[in-house]
Amino acid sequence: MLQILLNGVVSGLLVALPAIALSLTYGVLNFPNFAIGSMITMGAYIALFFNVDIGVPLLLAAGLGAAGLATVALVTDRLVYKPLRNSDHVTLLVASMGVYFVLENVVRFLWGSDIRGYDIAVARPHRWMGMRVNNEQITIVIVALLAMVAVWFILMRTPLGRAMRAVSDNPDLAGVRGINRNYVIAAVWAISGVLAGFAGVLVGMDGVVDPLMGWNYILPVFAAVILGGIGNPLGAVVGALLIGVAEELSTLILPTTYRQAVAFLIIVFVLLLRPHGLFGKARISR
Amino acid sequence: MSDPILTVDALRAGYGSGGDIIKGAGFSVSEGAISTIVGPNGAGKSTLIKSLVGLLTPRSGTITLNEADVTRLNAPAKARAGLGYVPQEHNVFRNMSIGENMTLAYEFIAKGTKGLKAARERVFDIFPDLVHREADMAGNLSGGQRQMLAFGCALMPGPSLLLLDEPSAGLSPKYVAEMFQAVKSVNDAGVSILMIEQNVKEAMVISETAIVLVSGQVRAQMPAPEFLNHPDIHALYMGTADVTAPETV
Repeated sequence: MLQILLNGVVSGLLVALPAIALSLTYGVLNFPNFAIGSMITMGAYIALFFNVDIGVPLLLAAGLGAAGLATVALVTDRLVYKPLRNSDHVTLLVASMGVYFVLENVVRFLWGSDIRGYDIAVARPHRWMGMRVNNEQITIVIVALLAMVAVWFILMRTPLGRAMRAVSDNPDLAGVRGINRNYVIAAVWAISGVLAGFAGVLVGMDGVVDPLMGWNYILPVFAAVILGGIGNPLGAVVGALLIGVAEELSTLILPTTYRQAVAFLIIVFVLLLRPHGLFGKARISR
Repeated sequence: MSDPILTVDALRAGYGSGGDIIKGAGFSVSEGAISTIVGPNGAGKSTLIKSLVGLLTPRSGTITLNEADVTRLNAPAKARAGLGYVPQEHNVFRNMSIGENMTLAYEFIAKGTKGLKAARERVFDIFPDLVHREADMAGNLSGGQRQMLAFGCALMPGPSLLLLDEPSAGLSPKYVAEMFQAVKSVNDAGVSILMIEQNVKEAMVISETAIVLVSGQVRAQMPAPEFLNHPDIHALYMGTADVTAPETV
């Protein structure tokens, strides 16, 4: 049981990073970025390129992957989303679906469709309180928690974070207060690129690196964001942990192939019972 | 009369592909004065103020602030040029505390937090209700308190001209008087003010100049007492009164 909870927390943390990224871009740009899936994939592959093809240690390669993906996100914004800035959010959602397929196929074109893995030493799992804990899981927990603390700090304690929350709440008033929306948008893309980049490496460490790895995460990531209250990055973390644990617990009574269906069921129930998500009400909306 | 701080000339503005709502409006705001734009519903008062603060780009005409052409600047650039603005609604960040609202109102226009404390004290002097409440969420404030916070935030970076969109709208009578008192004391501190107001009589008591906007055009600009004593304000609104040579103030 404890083992299942631990596995659930780890897979929840894997979902949490892209969920924060999705939530941030939703808040500031007001559309759900479907391309988050292939951003995870691309981040994993950029790091793989540095780690395996060039031989850089994985930690540095992950950093380069995150930086590379942040650049990709900024370029994508310039080429695709900026010309559509004042469009309807459905238009932007469809555009982001297009971006999803372009990025995934760029990955296939550059690195092929084979299943690959990072250059990490295989180690025996540690025994801890009767549970098996492997090095990858420890890394995932540490990196994900650090990233969350960093995002929380930026959001709640820095001028940039205040500007991001201001634009998300009321873009016109933010403009009147001297906040340049384009600067905030660029920062949000860069941050979400870094988060998705690290998420890609962590997902690749947990399993394998292949062009569809991000696709499998789209559903749980959206479920986490809806569960936590759309546009509320800290709620997304809680949502992600709940999804992760719920998916793992479901394996007690359901075949593992139905894991993904659990995320779907959670989305449906949340939308029926609490359309604004678990933390949607806490935000003052009058 | 002192030099104008703001001059608007032949301004045209509208939304999307629709027709002009502001149809060649022209007027000026004297430095150090309180000027009030009055006019019937649908005259284009809110559209005019939106194009003045940069939330709507004018289609033609010029806006001159402190002798600089600011016509095509966006809202953040106009704010840095010294234009403060208090919208009528949604004028504070509801999910932030009072303190965060005030900091945010300062740091991006003044480009840093140097002088933030002094600015905060200045605002607290005018709005003592806000003191010791910095941790309260802005969204939990009453309408009147929220209006005071919005006003205070606009003052934080020390604007040279403050635009107020119906500052007394929706306020209880107690707060209406307090709000006009606050407008007057801000003006006494040297900030020029241009406001839109429906409470015409109360507004004119503290105003020097009345600007009458009808159907997107400035019908008349005259000293406030003259406007109050005008034999037929109704006709002035409807554009049937004989306004001989609107005085340039």
